[in-house]
Amino acid sequence: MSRIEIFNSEGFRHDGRRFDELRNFTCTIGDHPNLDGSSSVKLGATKVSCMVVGPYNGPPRLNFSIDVTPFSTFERQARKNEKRLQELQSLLVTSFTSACATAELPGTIDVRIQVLAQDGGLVSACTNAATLALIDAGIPMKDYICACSAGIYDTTPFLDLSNAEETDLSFLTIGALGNDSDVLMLLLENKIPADHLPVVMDMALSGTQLVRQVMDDTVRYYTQQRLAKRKLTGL
Amino acid sequence: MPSKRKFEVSMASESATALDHVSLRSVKGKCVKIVREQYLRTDIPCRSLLCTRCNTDLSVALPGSSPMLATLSSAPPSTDSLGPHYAVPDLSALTQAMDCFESSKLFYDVIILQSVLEQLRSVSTPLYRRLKSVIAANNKRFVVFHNLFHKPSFVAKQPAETFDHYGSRCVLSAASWYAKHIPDVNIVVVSAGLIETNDSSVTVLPLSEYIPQFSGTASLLDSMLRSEPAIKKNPNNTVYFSEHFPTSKILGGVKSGQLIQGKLHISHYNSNEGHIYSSDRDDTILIIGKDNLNRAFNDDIVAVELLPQSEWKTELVTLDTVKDVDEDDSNDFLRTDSNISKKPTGKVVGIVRRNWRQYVGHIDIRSTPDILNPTFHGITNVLVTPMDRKIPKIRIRTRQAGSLVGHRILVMPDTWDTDSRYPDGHFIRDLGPMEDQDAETEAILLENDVQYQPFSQAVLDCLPKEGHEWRVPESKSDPLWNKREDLRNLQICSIDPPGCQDIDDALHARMLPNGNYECGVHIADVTHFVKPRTPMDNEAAARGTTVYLVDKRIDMLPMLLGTDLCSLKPRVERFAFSVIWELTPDAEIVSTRFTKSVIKSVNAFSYDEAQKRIDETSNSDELTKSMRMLLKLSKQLKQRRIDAGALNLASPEVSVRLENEQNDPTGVEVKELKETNSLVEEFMLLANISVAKRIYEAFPQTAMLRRHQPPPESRFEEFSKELKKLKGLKLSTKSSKAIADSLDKCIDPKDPYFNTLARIMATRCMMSAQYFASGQFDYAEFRHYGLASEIYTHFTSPIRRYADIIAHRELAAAIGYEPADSRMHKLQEEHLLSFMLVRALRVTQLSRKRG
Ligand SMILES: [Zn+2]
Repeated sequence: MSRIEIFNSEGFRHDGRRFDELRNFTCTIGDHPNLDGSSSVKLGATKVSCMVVGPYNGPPRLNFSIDVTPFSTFERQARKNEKRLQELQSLLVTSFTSACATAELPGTIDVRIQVLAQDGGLVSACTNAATLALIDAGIPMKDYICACSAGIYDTTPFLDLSNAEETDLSFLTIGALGNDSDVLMLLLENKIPADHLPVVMDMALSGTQLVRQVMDDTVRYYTQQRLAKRKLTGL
Repeated sequence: MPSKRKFEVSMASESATALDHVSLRSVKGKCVKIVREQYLRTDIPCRSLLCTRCNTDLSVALPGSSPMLATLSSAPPSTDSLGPHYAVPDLSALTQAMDCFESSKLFYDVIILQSVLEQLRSVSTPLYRRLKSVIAANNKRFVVFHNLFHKPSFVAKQPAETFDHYGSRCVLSAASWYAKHIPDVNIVVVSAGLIETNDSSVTVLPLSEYIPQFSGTASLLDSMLRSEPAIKKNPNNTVYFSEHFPTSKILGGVKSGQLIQGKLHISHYNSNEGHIYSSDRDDTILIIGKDNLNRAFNDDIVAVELLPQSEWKTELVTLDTVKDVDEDDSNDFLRTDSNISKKPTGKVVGIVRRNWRQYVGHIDIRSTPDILNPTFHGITNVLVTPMDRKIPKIRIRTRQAGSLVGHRILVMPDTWDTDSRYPDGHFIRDLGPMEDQDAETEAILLENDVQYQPFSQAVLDCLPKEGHEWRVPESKSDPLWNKREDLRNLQICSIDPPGCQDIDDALHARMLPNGNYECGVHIADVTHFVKPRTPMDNEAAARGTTVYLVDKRIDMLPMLLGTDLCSLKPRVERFAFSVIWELTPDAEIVSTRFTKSVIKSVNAFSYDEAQKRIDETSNSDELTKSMRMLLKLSKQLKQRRIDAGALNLASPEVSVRLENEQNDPTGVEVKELKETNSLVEEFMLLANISVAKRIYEAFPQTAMLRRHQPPPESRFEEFSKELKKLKGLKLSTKSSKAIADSLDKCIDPKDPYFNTLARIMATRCMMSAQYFASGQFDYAEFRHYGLASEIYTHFTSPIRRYADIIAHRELAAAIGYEPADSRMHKLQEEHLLSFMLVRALRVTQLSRKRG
């Protein structure tokens, strides 16, 4: 018998959520006024912050780097994690390059993501943080890339898996562009039976729409604040 | 790919507040901070029919699945002093009186708190399982209330708060909430421990006062009696044992290497002796004597302190060979029998985890002779001698000692203090008089932890509702016919022991136009009826296997499936899973295919009947011809296996003769093996091997296989030495082929049973085969030594072995019949399962031996 009960007979997940509930998702923009763009994202107990430098003169290119602070994770499978991060970096480069609104990137852009705490949903947190920081830096994008994970337990799709659930279940992460549910990126972490794939993807996509709502509200809120500040200082 | 179906997802914070759970855990020696979130909700329903406020219509999973219905009755049980009430048991009540909760006499409308359920799960898996089945049965109106997810009643654990104290705070907080939420009924917290409240709306009642309020519960009451601390068994305050170290000291000691932690194994021969195995030292540490065992039970996880080297001992078993050995030999690194090797000895200084369970035993009359006096009434202490000789006597308190003498009774230890010679426990249940067959059978089952209770309603609900009237649908357009081949026209028959009701397998053979043979093995399609993770599947997995006792069979699956709907009975259409080969006249495989099918067996034979039919030369019908083909091919298959070095080690099947159902066994006979026995066996082996290859191809990581390692040289040494000494025979152990050949030569012309005996002895030297997931080992290590096969699995007995059910699901997924189980990748689960299956098989062997 495993340590925790993933889904009990009364329909609760191990952390008290229902199958279709997202964890607390909050974000902030512009934490570092000295940088071109910055953001931080909290998804449950997972915490990620993102910093953007650029665009500056150089070849039109996106550079992603992901740092995992040592205290944010268990030390297990260090090498496997290393590989996973590289994979994630290249996935983010492709996704964000294609989401850029102009034919060519306006210059070199460095995106640095720092993972401060991990409790599942690493890919979604990183993607969402990068979207916000790039918007903060004023990079023209077609729309938000919003990411969310979903998995399957028996026949029930689960939204937004925690670390404990990720170790026990098959799951995927979807990045959607905007609110027309276009799948821009899809990362399958392990095997999901073909029959169940549509329902898991639907679940993740529904999640991305909720994420988009929160991100959109955040961007509008901070933009308004900034505008108000400019008016005050008379700029 | 996505169907653009929208889910009404929401953020958990809309109906819940997040709470960070910070815990420190040591991962590989490093201290790691683990943060996880937990949500405290406000929308958890109380599930009482008296409540109009809670929204009970929350769908718990996908829309369309069963909602959490209000279950607690609006007219709950009522007593004079308590009035109508809902009972809320705490952990101590459940651990001490599970029988009362299962009883039909009392405990209706019970609120089981999530906090209590989780605590129970951590202290006893069997009790947890029993409680879960009471909840699932739903006839006693037990509801689970998730107080740990419920904002109004949640209480946080204080730093350094004990397990029990926190547990009772959770119970009281939830009970108070209920009392305010549903003022029309009383909320009664039932406990066997010390629990107090200052909330006047909640009644707290000891179990021993609660139970007598219901009629017909006198016999249940004894399970509440314990030797209470007030009753001093030992007036002189003699201390028999030394105190255990405090937990912190044990943890520190184990970490620094001063103490050794391990599972205590008590010797089969002497209950005052045991050992633990230390993987760090790669050695066993002997623990000799009651003082050194210091109140530890067999299977407890203990911390041991080494004794000074001067007190190290040689193991008893080697004592008689010690004399004629020179001192110098002890420098030898190779430890042989003729070597003095002093074993470290130790003393138990602490118990990391008790593995106490319920024990079957009988009252030791010598301990309290006066209970035999017919005028004796009242409560008394008695000693119970457990059936398991590794377990010390347990003292219990009972008021029915007189009537329990000479009975098998079930008891549970509770504590063992330093000032007591014996552990203190409590009475649970009377199984019946000793020597009575029912009582003894139940005792064996209990002692071996075999699930023998009747199947719960939840399990029975998984059966097809047509019952015995279930038929293969007539119309082939019925969805059940999807991807199923119609093999009803084949001449299929089954061959089993006489009187076999659960027919797992059937066979056929026919000549192909090209001169080759088509042979088929058809296995009952159990997984059509047993779907993954249904209550029936869980129950079958927990049972692991059908257990055969002399006069009783404890089924893995309900009778309806085992002996009817799945059983490949003759002249009835049945669903099957077929393996069909094309074989050359030399029994070489040309091709193999697998398909789900519908078959109609022509006849069911016993081994004898089949043999007679084949031998009778005048028979020339289709069926007999195909049976002859099968026999011919099976002989070739067997020869090839033997040439490859397969061992014929299986101990002969022993059958126990019963005069009639009620009578005691009258004799034991060794079954004679007919050619038809090995006909069936060969084709089953072939099917298992073919299936193993196919599922390994499809699931290189998770295929469920079975392997058998070669025996370590050392095990055979003694046996071959004895053979040499006694009979002058030589046993070669170089390879399985060599063993098989030399065993064939182990013949004593004067003693016809000698060869059989030698084979049984050789079997004892073998390793036992094990289930594993293909990802665990390299292909070279898959080998099944005994069968001389590169790869092997269990596929052919799904009615009575759970491993076969897994293989069936994997094969069905491999051939694209149904999607793979979404959690099949979960290796860990299978590890566990493998363990359980092995245990269950061992139990079968054991009960056969003892029964
Ligand atoms: Zn209510």
